[in-house]
Amino acid sequence: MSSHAAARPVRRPFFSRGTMVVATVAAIGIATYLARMVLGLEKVTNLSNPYPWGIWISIDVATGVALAAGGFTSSALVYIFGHEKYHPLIRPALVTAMLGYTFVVIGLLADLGRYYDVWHPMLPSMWQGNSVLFEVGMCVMVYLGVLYVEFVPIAVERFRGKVALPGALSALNRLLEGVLRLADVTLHRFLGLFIVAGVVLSCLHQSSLGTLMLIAPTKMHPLWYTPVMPAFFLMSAISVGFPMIIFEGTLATRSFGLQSELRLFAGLARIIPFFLGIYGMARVVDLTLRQAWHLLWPLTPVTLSFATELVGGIFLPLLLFLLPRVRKSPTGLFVAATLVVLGVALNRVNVFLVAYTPPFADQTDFPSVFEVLVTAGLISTLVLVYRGIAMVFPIFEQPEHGS
Amino acid sequence: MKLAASASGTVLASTAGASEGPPPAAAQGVLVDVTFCVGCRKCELGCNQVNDVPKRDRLSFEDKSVFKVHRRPDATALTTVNQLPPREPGGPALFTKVQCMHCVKPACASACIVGALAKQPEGAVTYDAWKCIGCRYCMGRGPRSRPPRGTIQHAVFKGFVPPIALYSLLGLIMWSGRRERRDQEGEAGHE
Repeated sequence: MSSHAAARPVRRPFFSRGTMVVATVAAIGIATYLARMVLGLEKVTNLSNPYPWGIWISIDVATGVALAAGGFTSSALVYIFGHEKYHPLIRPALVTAMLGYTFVVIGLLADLGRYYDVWHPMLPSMWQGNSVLFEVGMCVMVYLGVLYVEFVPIAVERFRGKVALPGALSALNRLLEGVLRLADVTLHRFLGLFIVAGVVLSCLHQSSLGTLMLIAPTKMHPLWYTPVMPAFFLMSAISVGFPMIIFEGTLATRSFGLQSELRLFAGLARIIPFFLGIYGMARVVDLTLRQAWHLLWPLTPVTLSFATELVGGIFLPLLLFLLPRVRKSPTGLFVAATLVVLGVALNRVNVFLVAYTPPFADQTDFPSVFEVLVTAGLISTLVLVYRGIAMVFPIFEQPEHGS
Repeated sequence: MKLAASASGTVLASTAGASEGPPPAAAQGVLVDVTFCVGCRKCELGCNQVNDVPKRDRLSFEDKSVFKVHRRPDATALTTVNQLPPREPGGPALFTKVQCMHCVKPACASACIVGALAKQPEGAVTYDAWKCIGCRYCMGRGPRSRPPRGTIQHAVFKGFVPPIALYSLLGLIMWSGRRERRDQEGEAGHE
């Protein structure tokens, strides 16, 4: 951290014209979400017996987890591999990951037929060690806790000695102050443990998400079905971590009117091709070894989706990140990063939805308008909460106010 | 043997896994020879009467017009009979029933996050609705929507003579210990 710049709450009006649009989408989404909780899945979604999983799993959960990878990749880069200069990127990435996982859980609740029984996997009497989903569930739960613990020092920094709740809540002031002081004194001794745990847990469940579909070899399109899907999910999560930091960092700094972290983004952009290249090569080697290239023909929407994911989501941004001219340009970096983000998102939708063809489907599954509204609403709510957190907590490094 | 597999019109690249391996020693089984099946739907009736599903009028099971569409089992009908196209033009109509196969190694049970689906020693795959959280991982992953593997199906039930066998016409569905049945039929009949 440089001496003149430190992380501070962003001082801006919360509502802008863009924020109003996002808030409208969020409000509609929240209303639809509540309606789903009351009315049930059948009334609100197009899910059916042959197609039990829709966009709530493929986008809200699978893509949500993948795009939260900026959290663990950045903390590994800074704390484990010791690249201190990237420290200013840690907090925005942490908030993205924390909110990302929180909304994964909220989205998952909408998808669970019996969301009120979501606590069942926590009871040892119902543990089912053979289930990949059990591993994913436990990992996500623990990692969410780890992310909140990692956020505690930020809350301490902001509020220690400043707790002043108004009115009736003021009775809690002393208690909260005590909690913050206790956290301040003790937490730094264990924080390293939590950071390592966060990286390990991420690697575990990022790959386990790719294991989920291994059990359905007869129902998945052979372009995607490969025994190394778990490795692909982990590789793509690592590849999308830094692009996601560039993507959301660019959007946030522009929205908040802050100075862009172009120097740091350009540094990340030199690392990205390494991960993206390994991931892309692995995909190519897999297709070659399985002799699956010919499945691309004839071109259908499904095979086109595969080609788009591979070319537009991996090799085009890989090429862009390798060009020095692109790495020096904020727009170039943003475009290349966005391609990777969209590519990984498309991959998750492809694996869980497009590649999935049950042998006895009498209709195809297309998400209902309500499914889309809930997904859009959750993403919008996430953006609003992110904005709020950046305005309350010291997340973004910026020069002293008023200077 | 190849009759139903080819007639069902679906070829699967790999059917390994779910029903391979030795069944539990105490497993009970039902032998179904669908070459005898005339589509009387009595097995559907029996299934409807004993299981915890919405009860339907007895006569509704006489309705043969249901064969116009291919029906899969669902929450209201755990057994369905379907008519398949004849093997050669002008040949006799083919019928086959679909229901839970009570796989020896059930993929749905291995997928279940809370162990609501479980393989019992008697052979049945049971569902404990109280445990279920409704994630539907079992539905996507289990091979329930897989076509029967051959004319001889082995289905396994828990400790009672299944109503399907009682209602069977022409004795095409027979009930016995799974081991004994396999000994009678020989390995060829099993696989």
